Amino acid sequence: MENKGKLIVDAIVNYNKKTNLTKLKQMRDKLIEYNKSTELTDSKKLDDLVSEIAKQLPEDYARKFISLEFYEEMEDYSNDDLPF
Amino acid sequence: MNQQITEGSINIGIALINDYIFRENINQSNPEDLKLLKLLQCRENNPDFEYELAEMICGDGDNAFPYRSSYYLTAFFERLNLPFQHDGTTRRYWVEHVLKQLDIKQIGLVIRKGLFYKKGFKKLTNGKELNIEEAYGKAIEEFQKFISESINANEELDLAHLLNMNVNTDLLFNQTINTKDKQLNDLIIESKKRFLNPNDKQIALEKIWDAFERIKTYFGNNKKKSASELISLIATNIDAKEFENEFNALTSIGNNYRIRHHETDKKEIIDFQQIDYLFFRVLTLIDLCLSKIKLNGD
Repeated sequence: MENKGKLIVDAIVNYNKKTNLTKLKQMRDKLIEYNKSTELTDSKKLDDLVSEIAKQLPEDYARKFISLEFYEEMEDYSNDDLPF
Repeated sequence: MNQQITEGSINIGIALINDYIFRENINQSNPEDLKLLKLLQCRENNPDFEYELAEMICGDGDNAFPYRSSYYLTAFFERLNLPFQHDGTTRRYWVEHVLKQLDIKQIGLVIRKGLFYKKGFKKLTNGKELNIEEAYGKAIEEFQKFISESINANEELDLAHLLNMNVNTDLLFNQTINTKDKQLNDLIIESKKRFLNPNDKQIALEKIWDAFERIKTYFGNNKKKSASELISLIATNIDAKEFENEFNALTSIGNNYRIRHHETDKKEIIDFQQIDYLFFRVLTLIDLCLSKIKLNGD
């Protein structure tokens, strides 16, 4: 009886794990698509993806993932003034 | 100031996800998977994993790997079908950044077919007495050291070890002994004091055993009745039988070994580790009794 209970619990755990991994793979593919696309300036899309992916990862991986510096500041050297 | 996506950062994220997926899908009976798992553990444990590997790929410093210039670094990755082109920045930092973008399967490929590409070692031996096998062997040795250090890189050193103390020991030793039985207090205090002197451990054991016999009569001169009362006091949520057994076992040890009785038929305990074990076994039981007595209002 006890064994049967354990089998059921294991099956649920495995099912959830598989479902989560499938979802994670889908999101990873979206991230790959985003990386290839010309929408790299759409920071909201990237932020949403990052936050969704982090939810699918265990704590230690999620922490590393979120702490990646996806953005960097870029100096704006353009000058509207005419050079005279 | 404008914001832009940091170059390579998304690839690093993708590699991280791939590593996690690999970990979850690992086949424990597949030797290839197990090798990669060990590599992944190195990566997870050693925060400088990619940097140290980059130094080997660049052949920097005094390491056992062939030096690779900018041109050869690009060729190195190209040969592995990894499209990275050296941008002229400091070689080892550039390689480190590339490695971070690779998942563990790709890292495995870089090591197997890149770092240990035998032909690459040929130029190391040019003009030297070293033959290619020796050069290759030296590199393998260095890499194995890197793996072993990476696995242990995250090992935490117990603060107790640094402070040269045992937390449990200190907790037991720092308890204030203040029962209404002064003789019991004195026995425990003296046994602890003696125990700290390595030459007095045997006496410490005798004293703590005396304290154990003494505490059995804490609730009156009828030893059996008093001990029984003491056991019922400490046996909260644990069967009294378990403590009865412990009391009996310790009493028997005290009677049969040269602890409380010194007749010639009593067996001597000369092993210091056994003395320590017995001392703490009794002290812990006494400590439990004292805390329950205190809780019960002495």
